[in-house]
Amino acid sequence: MQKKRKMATSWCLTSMRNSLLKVVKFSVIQGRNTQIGENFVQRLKACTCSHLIQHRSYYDNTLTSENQKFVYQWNLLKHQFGPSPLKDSPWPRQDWKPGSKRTGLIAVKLGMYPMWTKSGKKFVTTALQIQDCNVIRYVPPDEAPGDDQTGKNAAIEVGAKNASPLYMDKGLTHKFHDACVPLKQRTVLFYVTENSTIQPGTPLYATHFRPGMYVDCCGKTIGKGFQGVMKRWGMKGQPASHGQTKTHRRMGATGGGGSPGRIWKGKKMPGPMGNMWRWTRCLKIWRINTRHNIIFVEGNVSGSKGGFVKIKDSLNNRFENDPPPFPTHYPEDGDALPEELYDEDLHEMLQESIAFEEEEEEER
Amino acid sequence: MPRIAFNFVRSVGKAHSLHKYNCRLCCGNVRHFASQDSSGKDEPPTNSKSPSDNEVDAIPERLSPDNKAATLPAPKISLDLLRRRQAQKKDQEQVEKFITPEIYPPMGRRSKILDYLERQDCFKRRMVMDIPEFYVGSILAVTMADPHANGKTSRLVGICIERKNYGLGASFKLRNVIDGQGLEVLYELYSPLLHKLEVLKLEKRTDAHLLYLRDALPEYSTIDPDMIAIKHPPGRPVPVNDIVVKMKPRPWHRRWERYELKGLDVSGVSQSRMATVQDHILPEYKKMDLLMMYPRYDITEKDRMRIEREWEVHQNELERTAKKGS
Repeated sequence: MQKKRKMATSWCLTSMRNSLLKVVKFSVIQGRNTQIGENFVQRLKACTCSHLIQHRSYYDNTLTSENQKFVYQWNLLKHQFGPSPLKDSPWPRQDWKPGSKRTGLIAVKLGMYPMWTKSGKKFVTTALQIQDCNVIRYVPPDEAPGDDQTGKNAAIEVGAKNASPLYMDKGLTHKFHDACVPLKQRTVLFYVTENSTIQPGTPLYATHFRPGMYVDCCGKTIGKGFQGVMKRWGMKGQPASHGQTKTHRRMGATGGGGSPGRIWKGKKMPGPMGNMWRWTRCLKIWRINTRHNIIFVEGNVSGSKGGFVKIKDSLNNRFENDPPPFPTHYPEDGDALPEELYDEDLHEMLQESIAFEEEEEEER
Repeated sequence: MPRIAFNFVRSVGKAHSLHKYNCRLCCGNVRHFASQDSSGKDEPPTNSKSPSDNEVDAIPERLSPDNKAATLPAPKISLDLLRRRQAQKKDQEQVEKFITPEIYPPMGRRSKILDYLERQDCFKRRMVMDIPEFYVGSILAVTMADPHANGKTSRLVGICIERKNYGLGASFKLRNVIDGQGLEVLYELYSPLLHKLEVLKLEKRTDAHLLYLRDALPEYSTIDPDMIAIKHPPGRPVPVNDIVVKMKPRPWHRRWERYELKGLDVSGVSQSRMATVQDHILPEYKKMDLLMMYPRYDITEKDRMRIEREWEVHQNELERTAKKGS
């Protein structure tokens, strides 16, 4: 009992301390009472349990408001100058061979966009933008957390969308510092073959893919909250009338009788619906905008606008005929790509209107 | 006594962007910027013949105390010529540049980059195919590629009853009555299957859509398929047709009396039905409520100016290529 009480008080104290700190921080950022603020923080830290407190990656609170603005901007930019040349020599790049797997990317879903094929058929695409994608670390096969199905594959951790250092836990920032990249909002681990190693810190662009390729996209589905069995699992429910007492949208039966005498695990029941990562497979890429790093993918992708989407190569790509940029696209190699890359079947807006040719009459 | 053209009182755009909502505070005929919709809600001259509609209660130039021209003698030109010049000047002042409605993005959380790319694609398509200025109520002839038609193209003449959507998905509906059968076709403005869009008669109506023509007498929707184009003189304002359409007997597709439409005759509707209309219409004071309007006016002034600037650049580009070609 005593132990529990101790934990409770310390939790109360931390929450109180955190809320007080927020007030203090606000006034400190305003540039007022910096001395008092600091003293107050020190005293508060001393009287509460410091081992339970989260350490935020603050910058120095004794700066003036103009300098704070500058430091905030600088913090976002300071790691954007590329990987430090002194940290590590460039890693050797290997070639694609059949059976290679390359890394995926993380994109932000922008919205949807209509397009037309060369035969005049209209279809709808989803626009996915690659925002500040960098390789965070490469994990060799021995250390990678693979499972029995994937076997012992290497892994590449990719990060996307620069985050503000003010709102990130300090304990999580070390991996970004090691890679010399700005802090990222989201990181994803992609399993790759050993020959597709990429040096940490390398930026990843939309040109990692090309029009005509097929990709799998994973997005977090729109959350529906706690839902009943009819919406969640598509069960039929019960009739509206004919003597039904208080039973119209229920599950009904739960299983067998005395044997097994219990409900099987995984029985479909009401519960939280949506807000889960779901893969949509084999989506064709029709267009890539290299300037804004936008990929236009056919069909729908789970999730709402502004949400993160994981993209990786689909299994049905015929890479033997046309190998992809391996292990990724490096802009310094080769010529600069045009601003827009289109699939050959896509009707570009600057082309002539589509006209159907008159067929020659068949001889009877 | 020659009638001198009174100057319109212009609202200064920079003054405040909500000026158009306060237009009743200043004198009646105030010019505002081109608004989102191209229906007849603005105040261009109508077909009605009353002269007082287009005049302003402003102080005429010759009576203002600072005007030195009042002391100079009148110029020696004929009355007819003077009247014609004044009419021309009046028309020129009234004509506002047309900005196509589908480049203004709708409400909601949208990606500005994607909207920009969509607009650029629209402009690219316009370089290839001429998409003329038209409104709901104009008579159009659309030539479209059709794999099953003779000559592989089909042509439909009809009255435009609706214009919808943003960017590349922008669409319009054409209505006509052919051999006694009403026909409505939805066309996508930026579809590459469209070959030609001719405006046979350019005019506006008093409503934002003409879906009530389905329940109106067929004569109001019947347009001759071999109609010859009525050329609209450039620089002249687009005429507003304030025709009031007679309806077929009830039942109708919708309860048109509840929609606040000016172009249809609801005199035949029973009193009991008309009594319920007020429940479905916003009262006047709510229409003028700025707080209600504010969240709906999603596009900021800065964005609107940027979009209009893009349109201007596109128009200049079009003119330049047209000159080169000719």
